[in-house]
Amino acid sequence: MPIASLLVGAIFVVTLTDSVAPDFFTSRFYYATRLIGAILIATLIPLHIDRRARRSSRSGR
Amino acid sequence: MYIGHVGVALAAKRVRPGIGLLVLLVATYAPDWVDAGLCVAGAYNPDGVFSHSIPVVAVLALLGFTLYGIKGRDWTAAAVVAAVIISHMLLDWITGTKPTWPGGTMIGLNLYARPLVDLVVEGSLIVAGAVLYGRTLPPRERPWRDVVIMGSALLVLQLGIDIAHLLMESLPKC
Repeated sequence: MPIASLLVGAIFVVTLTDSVAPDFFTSRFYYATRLIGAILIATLIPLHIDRRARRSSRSGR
Repeated sequence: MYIGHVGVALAAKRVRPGIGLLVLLVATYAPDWVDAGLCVAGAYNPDGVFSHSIPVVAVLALLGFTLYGIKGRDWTAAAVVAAVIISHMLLDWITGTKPTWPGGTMIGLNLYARPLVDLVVEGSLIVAGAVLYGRTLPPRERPWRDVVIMGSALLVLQLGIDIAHLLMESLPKC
């Protein structure tokens, strides 16, 4: 899990850094995908951890 | 504010455990989802006039309140969902600058200009939210484990964003 978080964090930084975006990527599509991806990451990671925590607590009883 | 919004959603889960975390996460990022839609449509406003201004957030909160209230038949929970939506605007006033209303004044402390301070503020929200969220989990042998996993994963994400802010002068949203 920590490795996965670090990996996602690294990808997050790279995608947020404009210097790595070639010219054709500096389009509306690129920015929209980046924004949606960022919100999805911030939504799905806590959701996944929550589901896992509740599942493990049920099976641990 | 970025990941700090998740802290509010986690804290709201403690206030009303019956609300699904997905609902709270969508609510906490509601203005950003509007921005994403506007970005796709090519109607994005960099100041956030159509997504983060007081009247727009009020409409979003009313929408969230009505939809959740009708679907869940729990108007207190619907009020919590609406409060989470409103919290997005209030927290963005701390970390950024946002419009009050179309053509109105821009307000905010703009902590994005100081990524380390931003990290402390958002990190505090994340930790507080994770601790409160932990109290919604059923009893188990190591109750702190999931809280630590949740908190640390979110802090790593926030750290990544603040590093990006340190490396770059501006991070255009769309």
